[in-house]
Amino acid sequence: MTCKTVFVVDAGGCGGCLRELRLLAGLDPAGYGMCATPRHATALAATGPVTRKMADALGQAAAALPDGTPVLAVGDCAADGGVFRDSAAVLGGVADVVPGAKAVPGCPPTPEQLRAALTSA
Amino acid sequence: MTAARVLAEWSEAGMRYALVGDGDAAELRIIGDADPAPAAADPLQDAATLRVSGPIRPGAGPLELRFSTSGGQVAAAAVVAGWAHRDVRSLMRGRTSADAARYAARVAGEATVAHATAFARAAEAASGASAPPRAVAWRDFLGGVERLCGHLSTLGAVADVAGSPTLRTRLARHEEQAMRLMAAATGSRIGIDVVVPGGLASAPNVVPEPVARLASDLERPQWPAAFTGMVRAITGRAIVVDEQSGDAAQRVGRLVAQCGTEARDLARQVAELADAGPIAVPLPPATGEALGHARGPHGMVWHWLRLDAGVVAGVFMADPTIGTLARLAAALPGQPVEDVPLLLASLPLSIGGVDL
Repeated sequence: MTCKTVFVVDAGGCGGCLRELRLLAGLDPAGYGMCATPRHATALAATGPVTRKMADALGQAAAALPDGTPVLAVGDCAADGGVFRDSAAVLGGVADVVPGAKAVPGCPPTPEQLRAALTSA
Repeated sequence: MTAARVLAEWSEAGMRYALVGDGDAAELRIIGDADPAPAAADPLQDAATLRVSGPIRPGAGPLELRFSTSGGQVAAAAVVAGWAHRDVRSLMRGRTSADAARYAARVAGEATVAHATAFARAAEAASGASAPPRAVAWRDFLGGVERLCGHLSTLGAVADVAGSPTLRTRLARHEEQAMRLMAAATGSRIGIDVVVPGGLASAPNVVPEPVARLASDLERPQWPAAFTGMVRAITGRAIVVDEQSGDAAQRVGRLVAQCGTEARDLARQVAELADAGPIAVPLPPATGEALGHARGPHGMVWHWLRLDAGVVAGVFMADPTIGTLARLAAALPGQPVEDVPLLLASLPLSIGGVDL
């Protein structure tokens, strides 16, 4: 399997889904690496509801990805804002900023779900 | 008589003041008009050496670090938080304590059990009720699993930046072990939505075997010995000057020891969890105000809560990350620039706990 190089963006989450992504890279560094810039990414994984403060940064990161790079919305909050959907400080889910982002449900998603989503992405 | 010494000089309201003293007495003098601020007085205004990192920190919570450098060292620094502001407190107001608990559990994912427990304790105290003994025992146990997960995660992050890939993988395996333990007990890998006001949402499973395995792994003398090489590499680096922080190696040493203690406590507590009895009591729709606290992976978590007929009228939560951010900002000046990632990794932050 080729190594997935994931650019991980916490768009305003609690850190639960972020930890799962970090752990994935810690357990299998040959399979999943985390990169420091979206320009080298083979996937972007965003966690958390997208706060109004983070929307710009997330949009810029997505725009800097190589063409056709898949974007995953990791967790229930990233899918549609989750329980934070109705907050005035929250814009919504990742797909509201990056159209076409694929949701990986769960609070947090299991490592199996994450692996499957990253592999098929 | 000794010569008068200028103890301090400053500008205020257009005037320049000096505090002049000789040891026993000091007097305030106006020494002229305020100087116009020189352009480079604030090192953070010096665009040539200003570095801004964030708010996206790949693989970490959103935070902006601004620092200027001089001779390879951080000259001045500022930490800008607020990027993960979801307005949790507004979302909680107007809901019953049972509904608001879902938000308390999502303030900070690394400390979800601690935040949920602190909130539940505040709700119970404000309602004049207390959780049944079985729920209390489980909260202690799950809090211990969460702290262990947190310590292992922090150690893993340090191993990552300190260039110890084998240790990083080993720590990730133990963290996974602890998270599976949490999942086997509660059905959630982070134990979210298990602790609720009044007790527990559902009865967890007693899982003595994985606890015993984890305890034996983290209690052996080989456990601290595995860190020897990394500790040597980070000794004297990423120093935080306050009463208990020390250098990165000392912080790692404390976490390694805490892992052993937590694992031993879990093995002892697991025997007490088999007791039958109710897991929750219904809370009356009470009016009152109270504080609740719980020990999370990075320190004590506090929730203040005011209930009006069982509905949240006011709430505030204090996560230890508030203090850690202040320590980080104070520790940055003087650090070699290449040690900034080590400093960040060894000072664990729950950004959601500050941004709220």
